[in-house]
Amino acid sequence: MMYDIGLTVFNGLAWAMATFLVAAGLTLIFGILHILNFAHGGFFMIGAYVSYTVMLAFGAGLPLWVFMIGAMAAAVVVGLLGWAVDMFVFRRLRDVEDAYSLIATYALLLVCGGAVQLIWGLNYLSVMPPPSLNSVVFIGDVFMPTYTIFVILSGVVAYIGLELLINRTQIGQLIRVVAVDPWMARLLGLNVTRIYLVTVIFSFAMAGVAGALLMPNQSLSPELGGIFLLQAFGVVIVGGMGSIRGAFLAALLLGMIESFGTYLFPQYPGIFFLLALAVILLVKPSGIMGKEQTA
Amino acid sequence: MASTEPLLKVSGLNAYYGGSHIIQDAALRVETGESVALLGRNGAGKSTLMKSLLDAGPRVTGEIMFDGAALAGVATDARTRRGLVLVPEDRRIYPNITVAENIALGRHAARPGAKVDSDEIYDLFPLLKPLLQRAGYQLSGGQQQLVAVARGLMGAPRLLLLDEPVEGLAPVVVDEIAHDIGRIRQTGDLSLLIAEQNLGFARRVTDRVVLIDSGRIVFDGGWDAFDADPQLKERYLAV
Repeated sequence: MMYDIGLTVFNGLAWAMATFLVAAGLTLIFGILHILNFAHGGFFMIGAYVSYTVMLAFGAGLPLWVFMIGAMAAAVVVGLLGWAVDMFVFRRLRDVEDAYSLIATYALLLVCGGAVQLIWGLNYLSVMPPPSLNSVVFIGDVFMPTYTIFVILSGVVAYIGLELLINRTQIGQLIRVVAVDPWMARLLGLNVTRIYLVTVIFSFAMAGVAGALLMPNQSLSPELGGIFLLQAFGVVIVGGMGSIRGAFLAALLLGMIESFGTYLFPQYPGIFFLLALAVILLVKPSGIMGKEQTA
Repeated sequence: MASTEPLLKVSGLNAYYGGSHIIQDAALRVETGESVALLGRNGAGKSTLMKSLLDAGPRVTGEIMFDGAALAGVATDARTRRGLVLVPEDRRIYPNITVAENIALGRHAARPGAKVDSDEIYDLFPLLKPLLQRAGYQLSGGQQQLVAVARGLMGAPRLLLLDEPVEGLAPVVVDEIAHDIGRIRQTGDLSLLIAEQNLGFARRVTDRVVLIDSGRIVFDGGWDAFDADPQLKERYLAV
């Protein structure tokens, strides 16, 4: 019994932190620019493919540092794509209705899928975790793949890093100020356009890193973008749109619900996430940290 | 050589919100060191005119010369760094940061190399000192206004635009703000353009009157000339 609970908690944590890694950039862009970026999953996928290409170039049996170089490359490439997307797409969406943002970012998602097909083809590709992350540890009786532990730690590090960045740094304060009232920020001499650009590049780079870190054990295909995106959207909505802390707490909550649900009713995997999503939104439509736009 | 050009010179200014033509062919000038009242009823176009000067809302055509240079094509944040700073009517204090942080934000509007010292600015507003560590949402309306003006001054403005600074404030607070503005004017050659409906307050803090009605400038002159024509008050300010 203890064994089962331990394993179920571990699986819930893995689900939570993997999803948070994807959700963080999504909620950041929503919180600051008020754009719901449907294409986030597409750029997550491009990050995974970029990292795949880097690892392919180095050959098989890769050490951890090559894996990290792959993640860096994904951050840089997807961050640069973020720069282009802000310049050519997001900037045009600032003064139009939300429906246009949805259509434009959905179109971007399709473009991402098409680009991946053109560059990497339709075949399913896969990558093993680096050997140093491809073992298991036992805590008590609980069997924990080191790669999964790595993903959980990555999620926690990403959360703490984001909290510090937003709440403890100069640029973080400016980002919060712009999120609350961009009009006044301009009147105070802040270059709001540039602060938006930095936010978008950073969020995209995070999507790229998430793709690279979560790629092992996934089948890479042009549909990858949609799979994590659905979970990430759930976490962003339950957490309260735009709240980093809310997304983190929601990821933990939904991860545990999903994990325990699947443990108790193994014939219905994936359904408890959706049930919980529906129930939480009925009870608190603004999400756990609703109202608080960025924190 | 002192320049004879006014600090701000506006001509043929038109401003639109969507299809509505709000400001119609306005001309306006403010000299260095001068304080000008912009009077008019609610909806006369005072706020729209002020926002037009910073390209912060309406679509604008016409010429705005500031310190001898045309502002067309200059972004809002860059205009603030040329010395044109607006304190908007609704004050817009950031609620979740402290008063001191709010005031410090104003420094982004300062020209590169401009000397601004927050302590000097706190000295101008003795009432602010005990509030510095308070969050923005914990302030009364009068306190918000003081913070907004102090924040504007942190941008080392050459022309400070105050949009209805005493609207909704108790008479004793209005009096305090009039004193503060008097003190600010003694510290240098700051120019002021103050949109107002409160005639008594405007009279105390300005040298000249510009009257706006339905988006048109209908009078521009000294307080003596304004007082000499009681019809002006009757036609353009009486509710």
